Amino acid sequence: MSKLDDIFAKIEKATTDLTTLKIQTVMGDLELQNDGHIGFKKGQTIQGVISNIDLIDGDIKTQITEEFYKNYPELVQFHQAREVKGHEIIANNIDTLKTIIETIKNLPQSK
Amino acid sequence: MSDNPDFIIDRLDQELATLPAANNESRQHLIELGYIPLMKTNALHSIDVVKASDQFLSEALSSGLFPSAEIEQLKQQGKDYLIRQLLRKATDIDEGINIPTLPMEGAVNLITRIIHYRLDIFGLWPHAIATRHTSINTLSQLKVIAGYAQCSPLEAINFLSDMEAFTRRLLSIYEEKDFILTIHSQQVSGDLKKKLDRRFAFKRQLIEDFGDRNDFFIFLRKHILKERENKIDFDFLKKEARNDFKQFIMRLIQIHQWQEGFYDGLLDSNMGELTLKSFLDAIDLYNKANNRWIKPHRIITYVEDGYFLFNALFFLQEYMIEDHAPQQRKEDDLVLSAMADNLAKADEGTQLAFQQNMEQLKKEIRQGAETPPKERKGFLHRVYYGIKRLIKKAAKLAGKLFNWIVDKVKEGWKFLKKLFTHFFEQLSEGLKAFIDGIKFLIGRRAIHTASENNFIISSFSIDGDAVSLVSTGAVQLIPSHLRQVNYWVGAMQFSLAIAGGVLKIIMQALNALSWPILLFTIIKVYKNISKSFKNLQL
Repeated sequence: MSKLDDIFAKIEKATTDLTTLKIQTVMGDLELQNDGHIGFKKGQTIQGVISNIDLIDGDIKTQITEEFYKNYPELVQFHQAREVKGHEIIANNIDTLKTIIETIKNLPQSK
Repeated sequence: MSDNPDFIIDRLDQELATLPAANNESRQHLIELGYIPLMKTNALHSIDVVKASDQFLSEALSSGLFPSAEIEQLKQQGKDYLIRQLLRKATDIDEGINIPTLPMEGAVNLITRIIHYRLDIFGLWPHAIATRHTSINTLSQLKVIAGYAQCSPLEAINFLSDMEAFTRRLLSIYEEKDFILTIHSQQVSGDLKKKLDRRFAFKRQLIEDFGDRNDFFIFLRKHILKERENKIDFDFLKKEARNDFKQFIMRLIQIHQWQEGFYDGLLDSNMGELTLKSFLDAIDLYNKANNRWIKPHRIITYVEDGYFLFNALFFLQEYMIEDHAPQQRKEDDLVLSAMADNLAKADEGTQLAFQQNMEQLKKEIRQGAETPPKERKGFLHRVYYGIKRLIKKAAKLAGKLFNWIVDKVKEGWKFLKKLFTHFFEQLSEGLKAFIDGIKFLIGRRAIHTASENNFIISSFSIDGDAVSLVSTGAVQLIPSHLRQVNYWVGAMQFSLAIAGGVLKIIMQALNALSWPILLFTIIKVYKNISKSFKNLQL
């Protein structure tokens, strides 16, 4: 798949699959892993919070570890700010993404 | 140009890597405004720049000098861009910031720094820029300018935000004779003195311009512009060369020359070889631009013993004052369109010459941009980054610029370098936004904040999902990480809009565009989208 096709496919997926917003904030000892990505060291208990927000019916499911809730109020606030930003990213960019797709699809040279 | 869009996207990515970086501009402005002490200039560490940038941003945001809508619009292009643009505005003396009131006694803030910076440009600030505002130091110096411009100290400092308006003001107040200046410099080479020794031609021109209008001109003819040295009144020349107002006008001209890129020496009131040569460069450029053949003696002549006479009245009126009101955006578009139109009509050989010489401009600009600001003899060796007058002049020359590039015209090269510095900057911002937008479209985008062994990484995808990995003990990084993320979220909307605009051009005009035309078109997309985002904010 060419880079441009890849871009169009991603945009199309994003513009049609926006029913849920998944925000995760997780904490632990991190390390550089063999594949070059940053990940958690093995054998530890990960603390954190995960929110699944259904953008159609408004349901919000949040799972949070007790220690995280009690000991890291700053991170809980940070997580809430991420939820707001997640909404913003969608709200701000969805029209732009749709415009890109429509513009390019309407061009005679488009694939 | 290739008809493969992937190839074009990759080549745009490569193009970005070859464009001049803008790091040195912010560094220079931070020194000019006293956020970094001048004496640190030649041994600057990146941590100094980061700290100074943060202090500047904090003072700028609380100064009340920048409308919040403008701040929001600039934030869309990222923190570095925001800081650079605010710094440029704070140091602009073409269309600089209007200061609403003079600061309180003892204050140190962005307003006091701007006042001291403007005085420093004129050689009227002997203290550190970050010195506290006091009646004794600041007001007494402001009163010098206020005296010359016959206005209040507050009006005076605001006159210095617009050199053209300030020059008009002085021209309207003072008599013709006040603009016939005497320069004394023993540092000028014998060759240049010989070249400029046209005292009789200069005298004829004075008679033509001013006749017997007053005793000053009669005196110059009878006692100064003489062939035999013993007939020259050197006491008069000595007194004239030390005339405070005339020295001030000379400095004003040095500043004009610096703003236009003709003079790249120190702003130090030393009217030596470089300053004199900059006059000749200006005359050459305007002759070339206007198809006129004004000779150097129309403006300057060497007399004797290191003394020169300079007709600042003609120089300022002819070259430093523009007739029309500023319409920068339209004028900017006019220049870009004229170049793109000429390119589209040109044959293959001409297009190739244009592209090669544009690459040469880029190379030379990049070399200059990589040279960090330097301190020399207690002065900052600096570049002027304001663009208002540059663009106004470029619009007047729009019809000629294309051929100047193709033919690599010597007289116009410095001007082209200054103009293309501006274009390459816009291209660089446009391409950065484009690449950033494409990266976000292709995969997740990660924002890192790190300090020692602690870090936070937040990654985002276009469907709004986010994952934040926080290392144990990184809680204290949350505020700075949040700020970074907020900047990025704001910037992403802009980047996606640019990516959309550029992708559209690539798809619409495959095969029909030459590479330089594509680059000019990207600059126009960038400008138009910036404008629409600005209007949205307003």
